[in-house]
Amino acid sequence: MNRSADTEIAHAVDVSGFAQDVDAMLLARAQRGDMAAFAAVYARFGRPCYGLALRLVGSAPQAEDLVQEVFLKLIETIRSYRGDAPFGAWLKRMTVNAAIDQLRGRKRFAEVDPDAMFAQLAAADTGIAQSIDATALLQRLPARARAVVVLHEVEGYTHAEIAALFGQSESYSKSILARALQRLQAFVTPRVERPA
Amino acid sequence: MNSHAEFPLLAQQLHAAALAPAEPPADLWTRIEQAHAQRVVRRTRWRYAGGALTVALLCALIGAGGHWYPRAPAGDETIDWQARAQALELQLAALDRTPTSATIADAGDVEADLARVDRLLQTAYEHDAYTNELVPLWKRRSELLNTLLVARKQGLALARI
Repeated sequence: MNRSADTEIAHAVDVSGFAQDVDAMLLARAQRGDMAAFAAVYARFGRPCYGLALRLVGSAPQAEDLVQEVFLKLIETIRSYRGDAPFGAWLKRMTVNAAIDQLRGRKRFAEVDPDAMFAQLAAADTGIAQSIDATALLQRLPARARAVVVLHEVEGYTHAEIAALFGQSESYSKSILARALQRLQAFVTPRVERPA
Repeated sequence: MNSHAEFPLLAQQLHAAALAPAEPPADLWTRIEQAHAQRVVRRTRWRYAGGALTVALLCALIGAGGHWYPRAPAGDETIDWQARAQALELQLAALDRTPTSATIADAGDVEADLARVDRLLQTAYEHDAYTNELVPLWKRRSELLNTLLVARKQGLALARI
């Protein structure tokens, strides 16, 4: 990845809202189980957490469930947070892990095997106008492919990290990313501009 | 592979997706709080249920204990140790009670222990103790008497030399 791309991603991560600080007082209150402190944490991080969940799982109801799961886990595990990593990064990782767990729970062959995954899309419409928004585009991808694209292209994860999250090889991650990007490109390129 | 080099337009759209505001439903935090409260209630119930189950199991074990261990003074094991202790006591009484310098200290300790075990046995009988509580005391009494007997026999032998 080149420098400008790195900068773009860093910017995206900053703007996504996970880079906010949590002051020591609020953290201490949350670690004592003060629900008002958790409400304050949610007020800061609920939105970025939901945004990331939505991009990863692709549907609003699933993203809501995921955010609920993440914050319930946060309430239970915040005492173990020692401040080794920034709080936002810790919460972001928790969100990604919860989303991947959800995706890994889907064991159907068509949702795991790259060939079967993209074969499902063969009949889908392509050549959608450029104006279509990227979130809607991502929703056209199979669940795992969407997660790989978001993690690699938006969140800046490496293939090794993605492979570890899915319990697969790096080549699995690379293969899915390549096919997903080609598919997305086909969606955004107007039919008339595509070579015969 | 990444989209920045090969598909610049796509890259732009993906990053736009990252920046696009996604607003969670207004009542999501309320739902999270409710789910947390339900979890806490469920866990508390499980904890109480677990505690009640433990108490019930303990009661059942204690109740069954009455059948496993008959109340004193029945039980062959008790009679054996008791009989053994009484036999040793007779042997001791038959020996010369004169201590030697080599055995005075040891015998004093043993006699103190013996007195302690006797008190414990007395208390156990007064409280209608179970056989399993009496057996170790009678066993200990026999061991102490045996030690005392050996010490006295050695002392006697030394005195005669």
